[in-house]
Amino acid sequence: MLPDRFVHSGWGFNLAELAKEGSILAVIVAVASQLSRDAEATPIELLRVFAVAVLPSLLLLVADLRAACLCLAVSMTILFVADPTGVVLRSLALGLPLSMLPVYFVLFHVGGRRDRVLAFLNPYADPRGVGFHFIQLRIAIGSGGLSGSGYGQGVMKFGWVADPYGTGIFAVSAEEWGFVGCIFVVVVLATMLRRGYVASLRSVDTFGKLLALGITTWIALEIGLNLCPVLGLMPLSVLHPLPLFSYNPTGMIVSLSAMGVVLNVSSTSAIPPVWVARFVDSPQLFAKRIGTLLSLLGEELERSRKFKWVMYGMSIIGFVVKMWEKIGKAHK
Amino acid sequence: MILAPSRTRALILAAAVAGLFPLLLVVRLAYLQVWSAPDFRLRRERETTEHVELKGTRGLILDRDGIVLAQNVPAGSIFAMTSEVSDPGVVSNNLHEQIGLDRSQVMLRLTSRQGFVWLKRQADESQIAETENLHLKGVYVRHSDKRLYPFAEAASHVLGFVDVDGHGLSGVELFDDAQLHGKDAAVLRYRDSRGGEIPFGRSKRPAPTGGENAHLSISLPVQLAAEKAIEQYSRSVPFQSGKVIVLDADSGQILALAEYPNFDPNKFSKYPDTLLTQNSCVQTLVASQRMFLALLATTELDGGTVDMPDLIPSWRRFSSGSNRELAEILLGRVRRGHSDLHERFTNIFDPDAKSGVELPGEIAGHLDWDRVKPPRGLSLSPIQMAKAMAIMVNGGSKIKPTIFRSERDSSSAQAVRTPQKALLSATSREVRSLLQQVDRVRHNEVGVGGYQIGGIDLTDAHGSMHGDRMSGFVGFAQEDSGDGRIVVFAMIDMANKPKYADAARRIFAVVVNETMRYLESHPIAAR
Repeated sequence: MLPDRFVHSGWGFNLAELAKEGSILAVIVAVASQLSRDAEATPIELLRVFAVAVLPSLLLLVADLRAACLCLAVSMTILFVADPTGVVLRSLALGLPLSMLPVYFVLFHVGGRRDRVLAFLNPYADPRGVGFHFIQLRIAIGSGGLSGSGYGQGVMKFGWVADPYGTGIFAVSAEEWGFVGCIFVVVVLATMLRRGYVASLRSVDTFGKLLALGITTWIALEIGLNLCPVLGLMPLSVLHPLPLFSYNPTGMIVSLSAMGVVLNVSSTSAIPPVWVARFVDSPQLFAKRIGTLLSLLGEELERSRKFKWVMYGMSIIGFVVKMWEKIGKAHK
Repeated sequence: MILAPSRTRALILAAAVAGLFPLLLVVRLAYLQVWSAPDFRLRRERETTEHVELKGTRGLILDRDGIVLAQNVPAGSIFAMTSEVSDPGVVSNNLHEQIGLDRSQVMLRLTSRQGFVWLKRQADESQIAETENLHLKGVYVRHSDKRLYPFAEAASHVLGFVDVDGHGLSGVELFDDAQLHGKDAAVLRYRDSRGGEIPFGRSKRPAPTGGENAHLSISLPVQLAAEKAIEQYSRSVPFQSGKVIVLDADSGQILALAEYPNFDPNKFSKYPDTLLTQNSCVQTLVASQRMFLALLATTELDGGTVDMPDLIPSWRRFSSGSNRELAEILLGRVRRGHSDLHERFTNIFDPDAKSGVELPGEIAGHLDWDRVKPPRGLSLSPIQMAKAMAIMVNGGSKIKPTIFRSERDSSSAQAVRTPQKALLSATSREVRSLLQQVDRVRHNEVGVGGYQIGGIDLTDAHGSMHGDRMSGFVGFAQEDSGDGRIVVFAMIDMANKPKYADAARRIFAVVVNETMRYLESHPIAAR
């Protein structure tokens, strides 16, 4: 068994987090790779695509529901773009409602989950219970007003907002920077996503196109899974650290790596992206280099046809680590 | 290639993610941060701030010679944040002996649903030090002052006591609470979710103002002598209650105000509420036919309607315990409708008004002129009786009994500087002479030598006062030179034991001796 200090090292590196995030990134690469292969759309090939897109998600489902949903959603998005005929998508669309039935049962008919899931609709119904964190988040964001209480002057980060430097970072920023600061953050994130999609559209090869699209959508979903619950638009159960903002060293490494891949795709696109040349600075160069390395590694693995085993291996490691973590928590 | 990417679908996706999604966020942010901002700000303030009172040091209470009767000593309160206490059993095991509580009591508090619980209020310094040395997680100490009464029971009914928050609950502590307490400073404090203070505070921190010291007119030696006189008597004669007032007849300053039973204000929680808050010298009324007759006689003398020579024979018999002859003369005049007598009586002794002494809960006397048969016509509190006696013997000046040595407001000081005359000086002289008949008749019982003394036995010949078996005496003493004129009121509830009817006279004699001895070295006129 892995020692605990290896999974949760003192300086913030988390192997479980790396495995989880890495799995999603690997799935994106694998799906893009699979779809861009020079092969006929035979039922066997389509089944392989399906297996690559869905099986890792099912594997992750056991260990981490949120990561599994994220993985599935990204895969579906890639298929949505890459499958104009809708063959794979239609077959999945038929299967999804059936798979949703147990999910519905598990969410709304087991224990107090229903209250927790629906608490975001009216948190004031149980202000000291399931609605507590929603209320604190709204107070933190709302009290920021137009211009905020000033940098470092927020008080809600002192125990009122849960995980103020991690998942609650946007609420803390909203209190200190106000509406103006929040708009700035949202605009920066939207610009980043827009540039990712632009890189995807301008890419000359299909693999790069789908890769950039998948990664950008993945980052967008993670942003959505942070901002929507924090703003009271979704249940807190899906809360995810805000990419590039939250204190999450492992997630930051993976996010920067993914952004590096997108930058690499962007640099090999038909029309060189102007913003890369204009806004290059040290962190971005660093991310780009890592991305290039990962991209090259991916291509090398793809050529050697061993990539899918690496991908499955990472998923299994993620599964094992997450399960081990859960058993450890239960034991405590 | 298995499938061909669709540019249209990619554009739809990009527009949805990079366009519509941010728009949704902006709308939501605008609702929360612009539209609802005032409401959320209010909620934040309500949740994260609290007003903390910083108390000023309470003023001391000193006797007329500067002896400290009430002071402050360092203490503290021990409290726990229950959410931070990981093992209440261990904490209660370690702590209960230090703070003098049962283990189960500590456990009960630590396991309560409240986040904040007091474990010990006003713990003394050693308890605080021991608790701090234990370094128990979740257990904290708030340093503060504790009120200490160094002479314990002495003058307890005058001093009163304060609650754990330093607010006066009875006596001078209550009456003078505003001056003694000083001015607290309310500080706006930002707190985290566990109640701890957030390191940065944005509110100003005005320093609290300390309270003023209270200089009482009480003399500790006289007070102790009065209390000892009652207490010693209580050892040989069981009685229910007793009280003694010693008053400077010229200034109205109260030198002693003793009451039995008394209490230790340092341990006030061990006594019943009725004992803690009562001060029968100002809160009870006494109906004495003999006092009423003496006051009526004084009024008649002052009005010139009765001559001194006519009064002397009947007063002699009055002094020896018989009320009948004096009552026939005076009450006959009341019955015959001397209407101005009522008005003059009220102007001189003002029985329906409070004496004005600075003690809480004072009640006024009652004069029912239409009920011609005393004693039911007149009821006075002990302090009013002492005040009436002071007017009779001090040359006829109106006085206001006071518990403070120095006046606290200018209007009162003005009143002291220009005393109003209630009686003619000649009348006062004559009344003093009449009152001294008591001394001649009952010299052995009163037993005071070397001073001019006189007074009225409030108990009649049957040892009865208003039907109750009481023993009461109000009188005066003065040096031959005329200085050091005091009034002493003594009363004992004899619990229906008439053979001890002279108890008050004996206590009067002891207190007068002790007071006059004190005044030889501490003359009031020199102050």
